[in-house]
Amino acid sequence: MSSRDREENMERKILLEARQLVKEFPAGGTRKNPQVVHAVTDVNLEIYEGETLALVGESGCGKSTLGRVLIRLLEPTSGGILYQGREIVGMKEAEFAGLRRELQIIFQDPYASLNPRMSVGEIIGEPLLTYGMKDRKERELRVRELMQEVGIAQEFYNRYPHQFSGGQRQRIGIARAIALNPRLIICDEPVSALDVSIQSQVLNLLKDLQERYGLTYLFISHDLSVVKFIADRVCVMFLGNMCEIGDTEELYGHPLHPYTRFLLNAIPKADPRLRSQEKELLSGEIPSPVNPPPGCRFHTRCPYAKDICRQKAPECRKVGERRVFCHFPLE
Amino acid sequence: MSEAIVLDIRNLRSHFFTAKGEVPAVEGVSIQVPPGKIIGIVGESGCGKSMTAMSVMGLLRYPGRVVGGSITLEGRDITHLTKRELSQIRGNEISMIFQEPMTSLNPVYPVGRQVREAILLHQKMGKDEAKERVVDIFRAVGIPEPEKRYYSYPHQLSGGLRQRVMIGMAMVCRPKVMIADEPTTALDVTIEAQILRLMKKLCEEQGTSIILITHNMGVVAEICDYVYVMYAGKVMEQAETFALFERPGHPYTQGLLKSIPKLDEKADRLYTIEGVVPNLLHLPKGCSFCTRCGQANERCFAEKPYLYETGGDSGEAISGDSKNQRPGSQELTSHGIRCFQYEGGGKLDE
Amino acid sequence: MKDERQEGRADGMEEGGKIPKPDTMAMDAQLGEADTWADKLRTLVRQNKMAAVSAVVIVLMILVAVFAPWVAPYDHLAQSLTERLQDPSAAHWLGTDELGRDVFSRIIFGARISLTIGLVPTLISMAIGTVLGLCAGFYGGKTDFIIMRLADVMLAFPSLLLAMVVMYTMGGGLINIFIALSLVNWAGTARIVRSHTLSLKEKEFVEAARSIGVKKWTIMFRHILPNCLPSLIVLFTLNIPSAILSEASLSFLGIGAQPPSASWGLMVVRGKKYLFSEPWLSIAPSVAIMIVVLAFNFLGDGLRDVLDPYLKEQ
Repeated sequence: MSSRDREENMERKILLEARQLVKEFPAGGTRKNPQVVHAVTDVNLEIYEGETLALVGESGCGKSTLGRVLIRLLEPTSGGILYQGREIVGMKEAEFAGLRRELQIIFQDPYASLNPRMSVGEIIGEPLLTYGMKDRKERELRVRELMQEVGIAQEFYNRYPHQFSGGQRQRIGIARAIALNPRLIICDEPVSALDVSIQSQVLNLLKDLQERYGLTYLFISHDLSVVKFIADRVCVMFLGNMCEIGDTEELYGHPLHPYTRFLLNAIPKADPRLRSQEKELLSGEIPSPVNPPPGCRFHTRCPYAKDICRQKAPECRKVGERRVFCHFPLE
Repeated sequence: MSEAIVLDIRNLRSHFFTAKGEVPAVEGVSIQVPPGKIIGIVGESGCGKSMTAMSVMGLLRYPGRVVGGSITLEGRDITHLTKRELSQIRGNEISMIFQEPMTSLNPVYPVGRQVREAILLHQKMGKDEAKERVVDIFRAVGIPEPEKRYYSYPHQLSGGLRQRVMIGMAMVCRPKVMIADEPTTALDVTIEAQILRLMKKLCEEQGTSIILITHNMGVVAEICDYVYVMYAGKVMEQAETFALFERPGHPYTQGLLKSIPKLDEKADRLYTIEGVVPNLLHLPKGCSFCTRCGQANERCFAEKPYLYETGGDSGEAISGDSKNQRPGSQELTSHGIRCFQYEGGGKLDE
Repeated sequence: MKDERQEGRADGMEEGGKIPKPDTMAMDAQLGEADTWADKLRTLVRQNKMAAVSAVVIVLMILVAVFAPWVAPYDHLAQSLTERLQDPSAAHWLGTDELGRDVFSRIIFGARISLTIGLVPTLISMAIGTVLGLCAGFYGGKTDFIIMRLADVMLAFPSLLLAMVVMYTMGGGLINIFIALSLVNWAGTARIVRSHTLSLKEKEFVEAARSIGVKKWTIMFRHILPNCLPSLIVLFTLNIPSAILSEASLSFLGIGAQPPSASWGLMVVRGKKYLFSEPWLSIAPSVAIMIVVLAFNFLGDGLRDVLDPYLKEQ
């Protein structure tokens, strides 16, 4: 069954849904006047079973925080998360433990994400051990199977993380994430720390695994070319807000939010004929998430901003299957 | 034509001396930098691109050391200068900017004062005059409200602004060459685009040459005039940017370009270069890329290929010793490839 | 090498090129990363001669202490009033004390006491400090507040004075010295472990463990503690000399080891009376203390350079 067939069969079955999700972090200030980092504000999105949804944005846009909130590594400040129709925010730890194994995460930094004092076998075996596979022999067998799966030679079972290159460590992290047969994997910038030639190996691996196990990915990245390759749908974020969400091809071919267009313009393309020297670039810096601008958060950098943008946050507009948060979406 | 080469690196060899043996991090690299051009050095981690830059700046520290070759800045050999002589050149004639601007700025002094120090160190100038110069350069590198920013501390500036300050500091003495080591890697894409455009502008207006070290082929395509592709301490391919992207010759360059996901095409799988970068301590006997190369034959495993001239646009081979035939302009068209497939051309290195 | 490569490719073909082939070459991928213990030892010897020499001195000292009855030329308790207060000679290398006991033999036996005092209370106090520090750093909030304020109180109070209070209430003797020093010295360890825990618990591998659903105590002891170990080893070597010095001071003040035991501190105080006529009685044990303390300090410094990943990261 090819991925497309599956997509059609399971069409539109929502696996995870975020409703009015808000995450704020305390950021000092005085007791009377506490300051808050508005990391994620009012995010509504849904992840369909078997798809890859990409979260795209620059640093401080809240994409990593959102990813962690969705699998409850962080508790949301307010809002709800439905996993297969069940509310998981506020669910008791004991009850959630059963769902925990279905929601996994792969991290950006292959150096920080593996415990330097555990061997590869121990690292990949840890989730199995935690979920009751106490028998050492049985566990080793499964770990070796997983190593094979992600392309790490089995003779490295007893090696330690520092003996591996970045790409291989990332494979170990992937093996750990798929050990429990999860349904949703949050991929938090899984290839940004890797070299170009290694990056493509890991991306292919992720795609293969998705096909084989029917995994659903939430793929967090700042790299639009990588996202173009791997994602079915894309959600663009800016400063904790959603800008635009829609099908990858459509969104890249015809961005509706000005920010999306500038982002696409700004990527350096590996073709000197497409130099962006003449193209319009976004000026200015990213505002602080502690004091986000009122109204549309993008208005300080948006060349098309009008009065209403400075006063009122844009509402969601539906354009076919796509949603855009802009008072004046591009034609 | 009065074009000459500003910075001429010939057959540079820099090694690390570790407990496990001598590591040839840079092994026979020759790079020519003509005035007012942006030269790119691109490669994966561990290929020796940063080591090359450090060698040129005389910043290599134990256990690394330059063991051979020459570095000539405007006809003056700077390979074996004393620390004192080096510090006169550094920041004045050659300057460098790094990936993470936060660590290159002293957190306890206002940025303006730090840039002023750089001027006072190298030029006879009053403090007030120097300050004006700093404000001017801040304006030139696109820092908003330069008078106010003069008194800002590094942590009060965003990553993009800090990198602008660093570029300002690097440009303030109007150096002949600026080396930029992954200057935009830590920045967001929209800020990266701004910084790249700024560097291009400064290069054109002030005539400073830039050596841009990066792992990002996109950045190279965006602003470089000429590119050196490095792998395992050696230059694998060198070519004018358009030529490199249109007709990549070396299997490594070809693989690298093919493995980048493209925005304008829908692929089901990405091309991959098998394997990983070899350990520099145990390099293959022949071509260092042979273990990962799809086109390698027995000879590649046994013999080391030279850098062969494939003609470029000038059509004539340039050998290493023909320095006096207007090398500056010729280098920019030469297309060298370290692979036996192109053996027909003359050798560019010994 | 070539054959290996072709085999690898053939494997990949079989599976339709879907699974990237495992590359054995990759082991050697990164430069100088594979630091084994032997490598670390070599670095230590090469970079820090002083630490290497110190390590040898300490090993010798431990051997001498263990085999004291066989090494010492005389019984350290055997009195011989006819030979009292003799100058150093071929028979008695460091002379004899006021009861005619051989000073050299007493110093050798004293090494037993000093090293035990150095090791046992240090181990106990560090175990206490490690557990408290882990809890404080990991749980945060009130737990953290209470433990750390307690540690502040301990650190604010001169530790020797505190030990003296304990000793006075419980009386002298070796066991009580163990208890006193163990109770007094945990605070420093707790602080260091806490700060490591704070930074380690933000690391992604700890987050990964949480995302798997690993229990809190398991995370603390499987993921955080082993990563504190290098610093703990360094701290251990640096804490030993301070324990030895504390014992010497307590004994010097008369509330530590009791005569006739051959504690170095006790020997210094007993020799005090004869400082001008027979200075070696005080000087010899003082030099012994100095050598041990310096050796442990040098070793600790050397180990820190080699082991401590937190200093090494820069």
